[in-house]
Amino acid sequence: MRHWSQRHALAVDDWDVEDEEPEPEAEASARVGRPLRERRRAWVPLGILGFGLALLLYSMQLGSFTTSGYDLQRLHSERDEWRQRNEQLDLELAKVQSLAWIEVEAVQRLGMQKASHVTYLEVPPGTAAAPDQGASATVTAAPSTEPAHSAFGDVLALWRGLLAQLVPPIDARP
Amino acid sequence: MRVVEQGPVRVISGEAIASTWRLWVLGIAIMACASVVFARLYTYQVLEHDRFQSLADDEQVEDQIIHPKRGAILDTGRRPLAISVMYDNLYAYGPGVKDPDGTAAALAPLLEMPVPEVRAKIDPQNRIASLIRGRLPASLSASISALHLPGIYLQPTPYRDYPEGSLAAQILGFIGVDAHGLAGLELSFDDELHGDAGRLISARDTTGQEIAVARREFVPPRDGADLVLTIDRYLQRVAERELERGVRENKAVGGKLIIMDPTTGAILAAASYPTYNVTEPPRPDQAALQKPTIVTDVYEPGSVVKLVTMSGGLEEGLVTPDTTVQDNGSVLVDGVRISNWDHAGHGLETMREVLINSANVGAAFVSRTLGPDRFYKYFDLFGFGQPTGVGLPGEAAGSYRTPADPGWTNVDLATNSFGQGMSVTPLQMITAISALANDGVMMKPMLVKELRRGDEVTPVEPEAVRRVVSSRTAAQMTDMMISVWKQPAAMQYRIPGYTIASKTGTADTPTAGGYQLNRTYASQIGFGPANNPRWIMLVRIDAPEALYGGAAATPVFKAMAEELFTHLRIPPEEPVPTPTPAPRSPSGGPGPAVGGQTAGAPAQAPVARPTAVPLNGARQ
Repeated sequence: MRHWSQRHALAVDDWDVEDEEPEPEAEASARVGRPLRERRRAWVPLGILGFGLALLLYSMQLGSFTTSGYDLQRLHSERDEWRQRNEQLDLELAKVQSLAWIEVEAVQRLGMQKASHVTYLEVPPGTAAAPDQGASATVTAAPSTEPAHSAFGDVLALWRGLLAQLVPPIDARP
Repeated sequence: MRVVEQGPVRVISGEAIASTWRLWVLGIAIMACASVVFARLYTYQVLEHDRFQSLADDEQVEDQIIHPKRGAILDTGRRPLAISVMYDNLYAYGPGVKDPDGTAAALAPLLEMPVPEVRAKIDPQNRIASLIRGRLPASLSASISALHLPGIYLQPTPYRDYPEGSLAAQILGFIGVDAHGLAGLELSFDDELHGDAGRLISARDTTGQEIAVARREFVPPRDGADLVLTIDRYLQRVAERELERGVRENKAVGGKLIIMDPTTGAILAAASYPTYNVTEPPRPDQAALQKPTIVTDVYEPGSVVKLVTMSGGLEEGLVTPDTTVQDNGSVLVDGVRISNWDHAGHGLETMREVLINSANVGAAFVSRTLGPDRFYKYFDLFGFGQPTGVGLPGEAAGSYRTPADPGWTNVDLATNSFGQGMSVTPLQMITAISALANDGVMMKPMLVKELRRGDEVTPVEPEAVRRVVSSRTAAQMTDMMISVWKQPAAMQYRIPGYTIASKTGTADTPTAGGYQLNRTYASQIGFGPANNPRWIMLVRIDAPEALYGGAAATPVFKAMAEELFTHLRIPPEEPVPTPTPAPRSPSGGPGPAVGGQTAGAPAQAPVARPTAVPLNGARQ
């Protein structure tokens, strides 16, 4: 009784016999150098390699895609979180700017009271404050008692600047 | 055995044949098994595809509704009155919590709640998630999320918030748990405010996480539009405060205060007292207060309707301001005696004096002169008996009888001329008289001046309803109303430097069997500055102790008018004597410094003509 290897060898031999059948001369002349059997055997590992590479690329791409997908989800989640935080801060800001808050701050903390008399200033045309400058611009436009660019003024400003660097103002806050 | 074939010779031994046979058997067995597998696959994948797809979708696919962000309601300066903000709600899913005691101990200090209280909300047997605490600030959410506690999760939920507190509660209205409006502008503009929901269809794994590479369909939500109102938050706040003060000082049961720009119909403030608190959950017992009562509740307006009666007489050329009527204090109409409010006779009085004295006899004379057809034509022109179309839900039309109605008599004609036997809403009344302040053209009242969705702005243009009377009649009426304001009896309510046109009204409260004489609606309507009206205001005090409009409503009217002149930066028409400044207190307290704050206030002075900048106190 033959072992499997022997039977396998027999079968291989049989195939070999078949492979060794004489080929037409035209084909034989076209395939110069390498026998057909060897070429067939060479394609198998190449195919496996190619398939493996394709599989690898696919899995890499899939992995990358999956990772990107989860990254995207995480970023969406973070974005929503920041939006939520932003909305809540907007609300806090609106509450701080509400009339109720301003009134409490003005009356209780700053000690303000309702004006008993309203004084109107007639502003001649051409000197009215621009809408975005506020009335402070009108105040600034008032004639100054000091000359605009006097040497004394420059020295005074320099001295004040130096002093501010050395000794911070009392009401300065961090 | 040997097989001999034609052609090439192939030798097959007996063992080879046996081996081939076994291969065939094996192949057939594999094929049979494969056939069974393929048959089952075919059944599952093709024949019953839909059923299994549905089952799989139930398990894996999540169809999530993404709620749009509800639009904000802003005042005329685009400061938020109502906005939606997302907060996290903290839930516990009992069966998912591995260590209830440890979880409660971890959460309690963060939530600033006692551990037993948190523990009580984690029931391992309860398969319905229980709310531990709602409306968590973002920082707290992040801290809890970082704990990675199993069975504990955060659910983003939109909340409606009111940065200005319960301001203009009846106008704004409120929303329900489904984020749809239930009252006020929240209801009437619900389609615009709510927006369109989006959808996210995605596959989830067994832990509930979205599978990144699986099917995903996303339809983004369309957020709601922001409503920019004509309401000015400052005027609204002051109006609510002054009205409440007026009601309390008069020991009244309630009141209304509406301020409108007569040139556009824009409602600058609409206060009602009592009202409800929009920042608290709606209470069923406050249902009557949760509706916009300036359009839903009707009342008998009283003598302010004399302005309409007189306008009709002037417009038809039947009377002039100097036409006289003999006023003996009462007049008999179809056997019914119509008396003046004070039962006093004023002798021969002009039409101007009819308004100054608020004489019912004079008003009845004008209505009789007009006749019912022309008289009720003016009621119709001034908008009585018709909704104003302001856009608030539940608006009433008001009512009055005409000769076409059964039971109408000449007594109705007489009593209607001074505002009794009819009903109007407060908004109808102010809209009607605003025509006199706008050169005779009545504007449609408006509360919303634009809708904003991102950069897309849809303005709501002012709409003229119709010309009610001619410019000449409007000017004559204004002049007569100025006389009413300047009468000596109202001297204490004058505002130095300004001229106001106004009329008071007092109406007894109708009951089932007549009128309740000691319970009145005291009102005052007027506009200013009279020669170039920037505002018109209606003040109504319900059931005041002082009974009459001149006594109960006028102080509120004056206080509010002063605020209006200052806030709208309307300079006085005449020079105002400057009072001697009060000496500064030794402690350096506030005094003139308050006025000096104007330097920081925004200047709205046009450059084209001389302008005035008020040095007023704390303004926004």
